[in-house]
Amino acid sequence: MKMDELDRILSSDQMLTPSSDFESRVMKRILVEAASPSIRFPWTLFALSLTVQAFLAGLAARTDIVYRANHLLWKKIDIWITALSDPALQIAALMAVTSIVGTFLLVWGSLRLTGARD
Amino acid sequence: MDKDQDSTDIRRVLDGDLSAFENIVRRWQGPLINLAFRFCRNRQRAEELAQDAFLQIFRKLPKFRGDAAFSTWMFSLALNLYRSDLRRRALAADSLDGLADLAGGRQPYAEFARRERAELVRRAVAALPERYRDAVIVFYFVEMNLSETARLLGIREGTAKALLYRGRELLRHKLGESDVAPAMFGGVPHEDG
Repeated sequence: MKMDELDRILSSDQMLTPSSDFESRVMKRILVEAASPSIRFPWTLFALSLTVQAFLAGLAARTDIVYRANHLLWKKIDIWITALSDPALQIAALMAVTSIVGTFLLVWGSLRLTGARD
Repeated sequence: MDKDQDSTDIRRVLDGDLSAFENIVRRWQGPLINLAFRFCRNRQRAEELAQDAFLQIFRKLPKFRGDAAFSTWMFSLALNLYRSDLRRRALAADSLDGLADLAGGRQPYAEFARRERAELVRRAVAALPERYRDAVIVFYFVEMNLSETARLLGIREGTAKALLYRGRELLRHKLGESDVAPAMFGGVPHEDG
């Protein structure tokens, strides 16, 4: 087979004419799409859960610090700094951040995969 | 196709006038269906895919910034949709090896009438590895415009050229004959030996 023939065959692919009702079928779907409110990312819920998680993480940290500082927590600020450099606390903080980011990605990914949000 | 009409209709749609989208559908339904058909070779499926493409275009219209021509943006969206659909359905399940039976024999095309011959070529294209197949289909769809092919596929022109060259080499190999010259690209390197 010559290249010319290949070009001719592939260039002259049959041209389909759309069905007579194609346009109306598309518009029907468009109208449905426009009428149904798209599912938005739940920012309010996300912010709320973020606050709750931050509060819990703070509470856990405070408990830990209080324990470590032996009631001197509010008197000596350097105890805070010492406590914050504690690897255990850092791991806890990391886990909290991971769970927050993970939650975000999970919800965002689900919405994208289901086509609920582009 | 009228770019101004597209721009006007896009603006109207974004302003909430959905009837303007009907103009877009009317103008582009043919090209989108035909592009889909080249991937799936099934009329009904092609129309379904084109419908999905229009829906996608409608959803993403607010994101169209006008950097590229509307047609380029629209075809790229449609193309991605068609390609992922094909990937999911694995319609291109025909392996190139399977074509050996069709093309076999001393005079592989002797018994084929012109239509069967064309069908064989199209089946061979459909059976190409994905990236070559896409390049070949789009290249002929845009009437052998290399830069437009590259734009729609989202690749560099040099890459498109290489993919086309390799795709055609594979076709040539599978369709049987070796006296196929790479005439169409002009500058495409030829490695015949």
